[in-house]
Amino acid sequence: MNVSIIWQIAGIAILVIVVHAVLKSAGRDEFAWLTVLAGLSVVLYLAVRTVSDLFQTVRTLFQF
Amino acid sequence: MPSIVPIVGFALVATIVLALLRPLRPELAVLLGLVAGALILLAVIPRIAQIVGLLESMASKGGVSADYLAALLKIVGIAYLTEFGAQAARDAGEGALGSKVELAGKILILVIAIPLVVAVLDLILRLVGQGAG
Repeated sequence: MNVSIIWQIAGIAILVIVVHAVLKSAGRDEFAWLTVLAGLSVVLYLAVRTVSDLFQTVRTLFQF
Repeated sequence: MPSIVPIVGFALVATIVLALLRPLRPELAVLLGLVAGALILLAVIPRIAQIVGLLESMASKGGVSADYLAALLKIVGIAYLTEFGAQAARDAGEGALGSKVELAGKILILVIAIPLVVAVLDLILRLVGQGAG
């Protein structure tokens, strides 16, 4: 049960939230949204990798 | 000895982080929930592999033909993944999407189960035929 991936995603999420708030207060909304998208794409990559690993394992285990 | 403690601990940690994340970034919370669910299912897979091995040895000893067991395993696998996908969708607030995934899962299971049912009916008819003949 490697909890490290949970901490990675939480860290990225908090980073995105902080940078979003800072950029928004500095009045640069477009950059704020760029950081949100960047954070989302990194987390999406981690999630897709884990879920595809699960699907592959289940496919080989249940032979379908 | 397999123990539930790490899994429950992991689930609690994920729940707390999700509670923190959901109001701020709902989309990241959904992704985190998906990852946590997938990791828990991955942790259980070795136990399921043992059960599948046991079933296969019992089937080969008991003379049950391999394709019945293969169909059974497929059904369990489809149910496993359908449940995962439907609950993930429901967690993200998409109840309709979740129920559609479940409907698709049921239909796929039905398609696999029909040959089994036909085989059982044939067996019964043959037995009845011999009895009445």
